[in-house]
Amino acid sequence: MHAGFVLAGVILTLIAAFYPGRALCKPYSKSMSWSAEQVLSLAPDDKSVKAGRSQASASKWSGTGQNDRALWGLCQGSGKKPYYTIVDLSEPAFKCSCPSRKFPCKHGLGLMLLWVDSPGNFPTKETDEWAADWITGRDNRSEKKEAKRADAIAGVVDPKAVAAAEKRAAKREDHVLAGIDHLQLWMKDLVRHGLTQAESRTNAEWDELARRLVDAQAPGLAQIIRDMSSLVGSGAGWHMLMLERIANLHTIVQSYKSREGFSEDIQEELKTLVGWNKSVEDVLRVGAVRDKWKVVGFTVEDEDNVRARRTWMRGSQTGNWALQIDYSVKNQAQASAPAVGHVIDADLHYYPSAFPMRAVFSKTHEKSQSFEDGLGDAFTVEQAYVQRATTLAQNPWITHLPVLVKAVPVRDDGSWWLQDASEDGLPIADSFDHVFELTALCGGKPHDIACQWTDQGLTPLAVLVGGKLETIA
Amino acid sequence: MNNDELVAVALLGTALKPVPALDYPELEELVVSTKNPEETLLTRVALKSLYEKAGQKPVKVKADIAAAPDEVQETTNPAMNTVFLRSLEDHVDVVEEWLSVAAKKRMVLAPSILVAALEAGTKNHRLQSAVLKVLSLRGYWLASQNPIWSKWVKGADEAWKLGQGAARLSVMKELRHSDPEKARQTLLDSWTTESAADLSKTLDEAFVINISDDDIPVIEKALGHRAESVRDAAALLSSHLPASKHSQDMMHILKDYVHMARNTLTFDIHDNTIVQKVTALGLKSNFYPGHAAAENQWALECLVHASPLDFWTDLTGKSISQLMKTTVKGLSKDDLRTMWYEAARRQTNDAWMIELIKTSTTKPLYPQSRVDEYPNAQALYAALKASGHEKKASLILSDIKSVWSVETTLVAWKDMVSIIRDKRTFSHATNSDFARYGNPEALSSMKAHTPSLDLTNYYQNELQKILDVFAFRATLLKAFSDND
Repeated sequence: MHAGFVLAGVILTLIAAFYPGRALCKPYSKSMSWSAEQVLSLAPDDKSVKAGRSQASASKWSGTGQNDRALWGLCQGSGKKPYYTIVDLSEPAFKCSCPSRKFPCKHGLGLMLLWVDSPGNFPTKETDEWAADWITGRDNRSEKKEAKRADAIAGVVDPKAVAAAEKRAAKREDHVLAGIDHLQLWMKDLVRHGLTQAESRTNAEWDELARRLVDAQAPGLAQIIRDMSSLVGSGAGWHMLMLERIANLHTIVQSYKSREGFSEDIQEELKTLVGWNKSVEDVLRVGAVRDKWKVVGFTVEDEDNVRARRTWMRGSQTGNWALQIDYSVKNQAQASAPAVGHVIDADLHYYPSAFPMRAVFSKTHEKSQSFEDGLGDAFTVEQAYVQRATTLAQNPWITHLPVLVKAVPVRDDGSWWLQDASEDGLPIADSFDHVFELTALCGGKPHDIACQWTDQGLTPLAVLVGGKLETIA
Repeated sequence: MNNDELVAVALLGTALKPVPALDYPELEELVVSTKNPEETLLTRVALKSLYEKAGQKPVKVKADIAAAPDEVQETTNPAMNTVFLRSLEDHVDVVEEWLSVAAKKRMVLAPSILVAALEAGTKNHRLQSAVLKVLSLRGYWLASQNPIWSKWVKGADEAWKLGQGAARLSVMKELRHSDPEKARQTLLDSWTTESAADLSKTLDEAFVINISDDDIPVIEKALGHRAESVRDAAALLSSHLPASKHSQDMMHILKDYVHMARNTLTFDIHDNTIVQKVTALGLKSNFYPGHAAAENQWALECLVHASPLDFWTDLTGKSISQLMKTTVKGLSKDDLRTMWYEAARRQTNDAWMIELIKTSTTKPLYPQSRVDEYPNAQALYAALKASGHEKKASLILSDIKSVWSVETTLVAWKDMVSIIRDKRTFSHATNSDFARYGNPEALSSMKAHTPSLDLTNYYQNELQKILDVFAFRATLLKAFSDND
């Protein structure tokens, strides 16, 4: 039997046997509208938050209006003509005639903030013509998209397209395997001659390997190499960290090469790690999970020129977690993301995975609304560790996990932790910049804190204060 | 195979150093032997790291600080907080004003804006005093955990001992709000080292907060102070406490200057003995020679403010409502009503306040009633409404809300008018330009004073900035009003 197969398969069974999982659920209750914090959570970056606030002044707007579907207005910028700004409240989605490449732009955010602040500035009326055109266009596009999605959900397939896709996939597989062979040789060389050699390797050499993997149509592996290159000489203990990363990469490529022996979910996981992207239509063929999805928080990470926004959600009824990832080229338009603190009654489809987490929405049953009834049962620190072990047993390569823990931020010997009632601690990531905001909200007493958990530690996303979700930023 | 051994192999390379076995026999059994040492090393490292990660146990941690004390004061609401954060971004010039309005409303900063406020105070020293005035107990607690903040935000005790001027005053105000007993003790502990100026300011501005009969010993101690300013501050405080000896003394003096005859309240304050008697009890006259009549009236005001309001019903044998209709001689009736308003406000006497408002003929009630500063304003509102005085009740509400609005919009209005007068080039401004900005009366007044506005491109921005401030203030006002 192949070593890689043993490595992945047996350890999953082993760890799973130690740590039984558990399910969470909590009843749902409806609540109101938008808050300024929720609007600002839609901003693509901190600068946009500031700029958006600056536009939330009635004096800057004219021709404002609103109805159940949208709100709109004209904003006088530096030019002669005002910018035409509209927000489709059903998602929300934004449109503005300004030249900004950010999305939503400061005008969209400002208009919505003003609406939250002073709805009286927005008379209720029929949508203005210019705004109605955009709404109609959206509806038309949405119908086409829905039709395509409906076909996918209904399992309608075009045999010709399937055959062509299979042919392309076979060709790509050859490229990928060739790339992996090269990568394995490179890793073997690195380990044989020692990591001291890694220090002497130039950035160009790492980049060259990453480029070669991109050419081999294995962008996932290329990204792992780029991340590893930044570890070289990055501080005390980098050798061990590097060794662990190489070992992890080793397990991925070994397992990928012998993936036929694994379950379909593991196979899909490995393909994703290597860089095979699943189309949304393919994901939609997987059965939907309808729930009232509470948007808990998000993180934004820059990976080279790509910005990844990870939005975490939790089902009110199932207690399941879900992750929506939106990728965008830095400083360019980003897809609409659900607003933090809102609950969305929708069908959600998980990407196939050893531990399904990433998901995409297909159908929204009700307009999103704020919620104030909590997020479900929170873990103790020990339960959180058990849950992580359970997850790792199913997917040893998972890098981002959600966790809701009842704890309080404390400082012990210079490091920050989330401490529960038993004085057990979970480390807060050094990169988390808002630890004092979290501390202020908690006041030294345990609260339900939703976090993203990576190898670097916890990144708190939001805290429940009196049933209300307070985002931390 | 521990981490050190692994790193040693990894650093030197498998070509030079053999791969050690795992410390975990249960895992070692899983490693399929291979002749490839690189693969063996990586497999063992992968197993070890995953096994340790999955089996990780929680670490015991100790908090280095206790939980924050429970908040005793109302915190700023989400609408105010949004305005505050926005003002930090775009209207730094009004942050201080925001803080002072919150202080006036006796509110403290909500947890969600504490970090922003403490950061603002750290960056801008001018804001520190204003931030301290509205810093919550949680704010002090939070600041103590960050050395940069705690440099200027000391804990109450330390700040009182080490602080200066406004900072000390704000600490004492905070204590008066949260723990009046501790405030009294803190002041008594440092009594001998306090300068007369600090002591009088502390009594005047801090001890008026939550004043009660429990403060009488401190006030009487201050009435015996060698410094005139301290005695004056103490005497003023005494007027809030009708049970104090000082108030009783003031009432006895008052008896000499007012009497009831033929259904008429008659005042006789023509001789200057009234001033001498009042100043002998600690109050300080600031009148120059030659203003005897005004000085005498001032002394009478002091007496009326400090005397228990029951004095009037006892003297005349009339109810409060009958007193309102009583003829007054030797003093303007309006002046007497204003003195009664002030006495009722200081002594927090709802019955008098309600009767005065019911019989008031001025609109709005402010500033005569100072109802905006009356602690039981909401009770007055409810009582008047319940007794069928809807209009008067609504006047109370509008007074509470309009005080700040009038003050601030007029500041902005004056700014704008001065620019317009300087430039003399604005024209074409339409009513709609102004219509959105909150206070219609102030705006129409502004428009009336500026009949020919010329909104040229150059000046449009300046005007826009002012209008932005206007809009901002309107939003701010709304936030506070909503809270009411």
